[in-house]
Amino acid sequence: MVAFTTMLVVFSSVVVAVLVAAALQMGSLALRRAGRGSSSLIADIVALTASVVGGVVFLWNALWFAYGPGGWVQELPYSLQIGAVFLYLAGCVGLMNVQSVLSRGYTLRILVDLLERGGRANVDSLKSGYGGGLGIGGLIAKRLHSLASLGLLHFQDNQVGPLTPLGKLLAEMTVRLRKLLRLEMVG
Amino acid sequence: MTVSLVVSVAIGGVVLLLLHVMVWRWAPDNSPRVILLGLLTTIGILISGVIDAVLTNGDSLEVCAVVWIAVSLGVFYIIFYVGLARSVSLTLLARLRGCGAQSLPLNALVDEYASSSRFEDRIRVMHKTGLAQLSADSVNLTDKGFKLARWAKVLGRAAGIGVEG
Repeated sequence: MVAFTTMLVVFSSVVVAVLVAAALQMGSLALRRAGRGSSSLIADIVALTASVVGGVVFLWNALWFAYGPGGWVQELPYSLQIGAVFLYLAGCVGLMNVQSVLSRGYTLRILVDLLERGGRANVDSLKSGYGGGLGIGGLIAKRLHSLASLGLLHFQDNQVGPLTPLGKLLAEMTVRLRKLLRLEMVG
Repeated sequence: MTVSLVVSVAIGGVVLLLLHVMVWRWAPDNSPRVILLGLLTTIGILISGVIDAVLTNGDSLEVCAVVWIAVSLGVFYIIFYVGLARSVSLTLLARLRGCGAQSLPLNALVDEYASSSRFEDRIRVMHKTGLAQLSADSVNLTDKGFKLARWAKVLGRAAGIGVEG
């Protein structure tokens, strides 16, 4: 019973910490949308890191209060604290992934395009009008701008490449792993 | 961190990696098969939990810690795999790797991508997963597809990001 209470208290703290991080992230997004902050990729990364750190601070304090004198938790092994941090990070990464799929999901955008056309469309027109008229060219250009902002390749005056050393490393790993898993039709 | 925790998580992780590579190499498929990978991940998590229970004589808090760490690593792995399998950005990087020190005109890269069957492959995956119906040259959203698209729009609006693609 004591162990169950400990697990429940720690798990609840993790869930609330993930919600705190999500709220901080949504708040910073809303502020930047309102024009009170920059909206570069670097600013996005800084805001995201700040949100994750905010959640960690909350989790740390919640566990400290729960384990402190008069708290609900009598025993808090080191391994469970590590487990809680891992679980918190997995929750944050999961939420970040949902956000990324919502904003950049290729398949999801095709579904939304179809929805905006009443649920029925021709494959060619769907392809040329992808992303509400952005088209495949817009999709590629958007990805290339992000890759260039991350310092993975050079992209200037509509000329793409060459890759930076970091970009080469990532490309090499991608090709090898895709080959290992026999992923042929990808991306 | 205790030795039993590291050993149990490592064994579960190695089993997952081996199963993943074996199944994917033995039966390659164009669809991402995330549910199948989720099942393999569950096997890895269970193995970690059982090994830790044996090593710690059933210390429930230790087993709980191991399961949480294994679940977290499983989530990281699935997200990593989905990126590896479907990321357009990684495909572009892999394509540019072949150019060495040369650069490519953007239009050439766009034409090459557009002329590949990648877009049609997404439609086929949507057909396979029951989100859309592909007949001859036209695509129709199914009820499931309608629901998902509407939810995506609502969630995107709520999060203030919008489904941009």
